[in-house]
Amino acid sequence: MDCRNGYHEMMYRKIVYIRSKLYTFAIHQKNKIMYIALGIIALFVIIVIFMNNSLIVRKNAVNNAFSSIDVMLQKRYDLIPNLVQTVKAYSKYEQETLTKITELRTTAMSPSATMDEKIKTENELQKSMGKLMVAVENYPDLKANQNYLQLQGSWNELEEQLSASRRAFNAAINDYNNAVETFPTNLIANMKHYQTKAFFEVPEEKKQMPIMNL
Amino acid sequence: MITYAAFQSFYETDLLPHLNLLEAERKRVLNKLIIIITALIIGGISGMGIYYTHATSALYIIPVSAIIYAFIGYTQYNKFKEAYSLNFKKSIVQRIVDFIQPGLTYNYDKHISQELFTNSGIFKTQVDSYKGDDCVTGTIDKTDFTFSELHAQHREVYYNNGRREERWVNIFKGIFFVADFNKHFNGKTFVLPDKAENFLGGIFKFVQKLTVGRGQLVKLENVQFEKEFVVYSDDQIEARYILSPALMDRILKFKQDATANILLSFVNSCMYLAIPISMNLFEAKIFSSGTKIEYLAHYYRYMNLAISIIEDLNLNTRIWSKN
Repeated sequence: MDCRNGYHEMMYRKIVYIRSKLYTFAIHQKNKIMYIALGIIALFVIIVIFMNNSLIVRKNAVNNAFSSIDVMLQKRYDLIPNLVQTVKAYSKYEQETLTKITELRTTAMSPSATMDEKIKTENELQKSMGKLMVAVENYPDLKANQNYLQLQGSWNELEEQLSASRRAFNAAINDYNNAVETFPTNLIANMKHYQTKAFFEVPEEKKQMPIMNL
Repeated sequence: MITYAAFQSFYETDLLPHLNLLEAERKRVLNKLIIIITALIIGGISGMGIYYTHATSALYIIPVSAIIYAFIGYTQYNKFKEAYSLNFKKSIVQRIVDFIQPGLTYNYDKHISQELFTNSGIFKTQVDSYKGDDCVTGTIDKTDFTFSELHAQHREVYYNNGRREERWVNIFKGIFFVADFNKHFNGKTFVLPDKAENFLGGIFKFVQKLTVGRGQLVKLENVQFEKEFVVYSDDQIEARYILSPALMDRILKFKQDATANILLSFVNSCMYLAIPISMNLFEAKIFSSGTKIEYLAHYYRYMNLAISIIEDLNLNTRIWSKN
């Protein structure tokens, strides 16, 4: 009888041992699953942070590029009085154009102008300056004048830089719109109510400007 | 820009007589080489013959003197070869340069300084060996420029089964061109071949962002340009100021004409352009006739290509504040 009791005792002990092993194993599994789940959540949070940041970076790039355009425009306006003075000294016949240019400049610089008005004035100014520079071709003295040449060079340079700012602005808008519209960043964009923005359009009249066909 | 037809007639009237003179010199140099090789062969065969037939050791004087003669002849041969190469460059290459664009300075032994090469910022690997020749300098209309052949290498250390070994890796070999750019700018802009785009499509554009030390990635509007090149700059607006739509078109066309993966950089109001070419340019041939026009055609092609960069990229248009 002792023998058999001993045998049962051993079996019982074995079963208890196996059961406790299974139990700790299950706990470890549960912990493992918990850790994995935590890891996934952390990864998810990090991804969301990156996406949010990239949206913000692009939005700021757009604003930055937009303000550069303003800076370039301002530089151009600053150049005009000097230019007008130089031309005035040499010719009496371009008064009309010169006055128009000065007027346009004042309009463009006024703080109350809306964006659309500003763009419209800007185009008018562009056209008038073009006309002026073509007209100057008829005054050989003025054409050769060092001051005028320097001003013309600066004007062209500012034109080119303005064009560069506009292109940079459009590129920033493109980037931003892409982020706002494509998955997965569009989810975040919708949450924050970000809208797509419009490109800087070049109106038809400007495209006919002959000055800088390089 | 000189057409090939114009070059052909120039070749016939002006170059051919000089080429024929040089041909005679080349044959002399080649003969020297042949004699040296023959001497070595005689020395070798006679030496072996004496050894195997166990003839008297006194006869060893034949192979020994043959080999000594070969060595002396070899140093002489080198001298003559140098003189011939120099003559070739001075007389033929100089004439070609003068023909394509008079008024330039050609120096067969000068090259672009290593400082200028490093300042361009195009190649960031450390240079361990730097040589070059065939330097052309001058001014065309309003643009100052200079270019030369360059060969820059890097000594790379690698481990082969635990043993330390070295090998030379080419950083750049080809024509390196520097010119005064027609606009003022302050920062650095790089236009490099776009390998990722060609290989894997637009998917890997984000990989381009990871290239360190070159500033921001600039995405331009010209689709073809974006396919061929990747642009980095420290100022987005300045990059677009330099790379006007017209200039981008011109660079694309130039790349086609050069049939090479050109690299550009714009630093300090200067433009740097590197044209990788694997062959040695403007070197005199020894082993075959150097008089045929087909051989000179690539001299003409690369000289013409380099000199016409100024016209092709419209660097003489100076309507901005820089003249």
